[in-house]
Amino acid sequence: MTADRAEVLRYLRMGGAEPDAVLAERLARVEREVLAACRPASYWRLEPLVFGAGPGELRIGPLDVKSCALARTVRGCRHAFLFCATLGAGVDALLRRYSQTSGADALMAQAVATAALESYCDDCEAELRAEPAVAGERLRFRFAPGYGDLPLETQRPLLAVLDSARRAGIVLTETLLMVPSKSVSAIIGAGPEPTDPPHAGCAACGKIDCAYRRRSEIPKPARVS
Amino acid sequence: MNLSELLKSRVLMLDGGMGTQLQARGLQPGESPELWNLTRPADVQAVHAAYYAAGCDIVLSNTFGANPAKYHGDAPLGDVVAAAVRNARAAADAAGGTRYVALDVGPTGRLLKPAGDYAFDDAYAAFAEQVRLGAAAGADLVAIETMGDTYELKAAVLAAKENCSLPVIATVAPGADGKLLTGAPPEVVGELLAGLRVDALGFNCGLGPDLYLPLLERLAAVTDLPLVVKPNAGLPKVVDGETVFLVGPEAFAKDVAGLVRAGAGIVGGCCGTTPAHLAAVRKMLDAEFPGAPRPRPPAAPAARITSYARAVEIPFDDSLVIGERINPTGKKKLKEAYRAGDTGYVLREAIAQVEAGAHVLDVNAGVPGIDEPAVLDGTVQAIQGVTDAPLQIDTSDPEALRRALRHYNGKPLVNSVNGKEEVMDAVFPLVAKYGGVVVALTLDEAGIPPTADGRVAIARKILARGAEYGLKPSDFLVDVLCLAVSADATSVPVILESLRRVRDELGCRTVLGVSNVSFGLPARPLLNGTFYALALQAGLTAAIVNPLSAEMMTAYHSWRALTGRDGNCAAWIAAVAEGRVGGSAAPAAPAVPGAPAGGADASARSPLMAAIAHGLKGDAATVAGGLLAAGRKPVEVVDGEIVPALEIVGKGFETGRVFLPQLLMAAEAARAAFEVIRRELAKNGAPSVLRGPIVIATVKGDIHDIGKNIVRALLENYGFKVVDLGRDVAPEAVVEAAVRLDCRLVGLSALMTTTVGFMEETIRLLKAAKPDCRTVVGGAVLTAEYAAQIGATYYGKDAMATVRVAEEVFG
Repeated sequence: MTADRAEVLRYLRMGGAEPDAVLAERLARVEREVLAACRPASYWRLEPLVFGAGPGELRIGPLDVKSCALARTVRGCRHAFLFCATLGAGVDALLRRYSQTSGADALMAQAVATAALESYCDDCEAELRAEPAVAGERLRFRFAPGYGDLPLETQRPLLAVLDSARRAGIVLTETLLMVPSKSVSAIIGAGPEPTDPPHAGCAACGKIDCAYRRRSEIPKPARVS
Repeated sequence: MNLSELLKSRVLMLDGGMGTQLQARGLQPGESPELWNLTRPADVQAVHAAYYAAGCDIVLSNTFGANPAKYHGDAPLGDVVAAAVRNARAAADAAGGTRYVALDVGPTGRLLKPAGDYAFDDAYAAFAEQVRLGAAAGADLVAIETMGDTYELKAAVLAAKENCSLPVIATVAPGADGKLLTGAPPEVVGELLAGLRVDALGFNCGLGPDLYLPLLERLAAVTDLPLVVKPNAGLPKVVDGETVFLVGPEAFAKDVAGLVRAGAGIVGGCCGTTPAHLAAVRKMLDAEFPGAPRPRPPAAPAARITSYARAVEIPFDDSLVIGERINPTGKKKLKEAYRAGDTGYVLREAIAQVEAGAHVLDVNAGVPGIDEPAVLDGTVQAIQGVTDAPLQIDTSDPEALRRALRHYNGKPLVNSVNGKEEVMDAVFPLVAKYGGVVVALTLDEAGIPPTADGRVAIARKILARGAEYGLKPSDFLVDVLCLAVSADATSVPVILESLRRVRDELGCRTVLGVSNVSFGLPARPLLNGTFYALALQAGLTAAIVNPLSAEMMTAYHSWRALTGRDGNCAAWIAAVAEGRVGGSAAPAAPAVPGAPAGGADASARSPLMAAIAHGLKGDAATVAGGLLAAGRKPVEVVDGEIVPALEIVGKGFETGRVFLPQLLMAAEAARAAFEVIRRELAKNGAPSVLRGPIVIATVKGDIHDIGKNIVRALLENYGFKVVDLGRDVAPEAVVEAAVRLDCRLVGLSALMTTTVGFMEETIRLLKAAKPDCRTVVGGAVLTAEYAAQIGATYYGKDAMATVRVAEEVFG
């Protein structure tokens, strides 16, 4: 397991500043503990993807969804991965412990775990790309329930189709949050190189004053008058 | 059915995969297989019939998800379960011979608190309903399977044992590393299930048959109960919607033969196995294992306790440390914390002891005037949320013991039973039901015998009574009782002789609360440390001590190093390096490195301000103590150094020169310094200078609490009293606390848009019940406009902004 240092600092809202010696040492200790607590697990199914008649209507294997943003993201794809991944329950236990002992440690552990989960998902995507059925195709953005106009309620059928509790140990709370908390569920289209510019990540998001926004993706301010 | 009788004559065969068989008949992923019991009974019966025809002795009803938590079909659950058992029974009758039907009980699909949001008692209730329905429908036994969490497993087993009289077998689904999702290795599973006295236990799903051999051997090392294995046909692979399992029938049967050879008495298959797989297993069993399952060498007697994720064996010729600090006797701050419901204090005590090297934590909530059963129960659960060290449940109240044992996630130490008939009658049935290793105090109706003879005799009596409840000598730690040497000069020789004789004559492990020995004398830690070393040398296998005491840990680590129990003296060297041993070493001088977070101006002013600006907790406390020792007035240190340092760091944060982690570290350092001052003030009887209280909570439905915790930390470190109600807090609970505490400010946090509704409701109820109480809200989804829209008084853009709000409200 690894956590990208630049991403960790971004989640810590360091705004491009480097940590001083005291913070760097503390961060290194927290990082060691978090990475040691990770027991990553993932599961995916490659399913045929069919575009419906109405706007945003999609059938991905047994899953029916309606989302214009997702439909735009997977335009041109014939199939998509239904995907889930988690760092496991041990990280949550560690986060609970830090939340009792130190707000600073808890904050750093959150940042490290979030970055570690992203990097684990990236590793998984490398495996997805290696599936013979998608040879020569490009993976699209990891599109998760709750993004854009894809309802958060999609979590339930998505995770049911994946049998996520059994295959990866991911379950939902009554309010549709995933447990363990450091988990990802997503629909990842596979298809030819998209013709549109990538509609993904911070660049796709309208909240340009977000503290977590990636520096490289801050758009030039638009003139308003 | 009589499972143990059947296992005397043959290896029993369970069925194979149900879900994959139904999918082959058209069940869609995500569709409820349980409904098929009513809508497609012929298909369900056909699957059962195929397994019976393959030679299975027992099939599992199609009720894996038929519990009220998971099943949401149109037909009533009772009809579904009854139809499921009926379908299996019909197939059994048609097959003829001696065939059995097991009620299949799978997980609820929810994760229990504290990891998830589902209460243990709710999970129990869901399983209980399923078990009652299944038993009423005529199942022959209960098969709990595919459990990934020990807590849910315990709820299911208790529900089965308390709601029917059928045999119960329980299997778990491990990952490739042999552990369950919530971390339990096979030893934890084995001890938990054996303690709950299931009829057979083992594994299903999770892995292919080849990977189960080492796990089965580990399970066999901790229990003599019959072992069950139902492997998958390898690991699942999905391509374009097709689920594929790659291990064929012959290979499967060959690997299962290895499992039977290793001691499995009940075998079957899980995902991807078909009637063909089971027919191959039948052929293999008939050819290679025609009679009773192979006799296994008995598991070595061991005193093993567990948490949900860790098994700790109390050694016979070494010793463990049981942390004593969560026992309110003589501890004023802990008593206050219990009375005030300040769980955070207790949790920090727990974590500190584990970090100092405690292997087990004693938990006692015996404070006069509190509801001990409720508080002990809640405290045990809360501690299990932050540490995986096993716990010693310490109470003399049988009801408190019962509740804590029921909700304990694992197999605990039980403190205690003694030679009194009444106590044995109350405690032994609980241990027999819930499992545990028991501390046996050598006292009875006549008191504590003055001689070693007398104490050994009581221990013998307790062990004999325990045997009537199925407890072995290895299920006990005998406490020969530590009396103060100041009251009786012969007390220590008697203790040491008793320790030796309990070990040598009864073959039993021992435990002692070491620090009583110095009661009434000065310099107690020094006496305690020396006595501890003597007791260890006399055979003490577990000591209840303060692991934060350098004297105690010096005695412990030096004894282990000097008696060859610490290979290469590695633990000793580590303990020295970490400063956990040695009483007189001077604390290291503060080493304040380069540029501090708060800017050069803070460090230029004074060492304390520099330590705070750098976020150096230990240094801040040391320097503050030094200032007081040098005669500075407490108020001067607060007003002249701590508050200005915080102000500089806070301003730095607001202007973007200091970042959130540094702000929090600085605040924690300030708090450490403030604690030193507070203790000095308390000595002089000065009243608390905390402002508040402020009630904070993450709203109902939301389990993300990082933001709320940061706000709490910062508010506390800025001198506010904070009552933290936790996460997923109902609106009514927030209102109740605000009214009860006459609180002027309530802080609410929400991360998800889906939970902001509860935030709005909380504010609405709060306005009605306590109009003078103001609210500050924050969280990822909130904006100033949104905050105004839901009626909040203030929007806390970040933690520092919330501090500013509090300063405005409390002036």
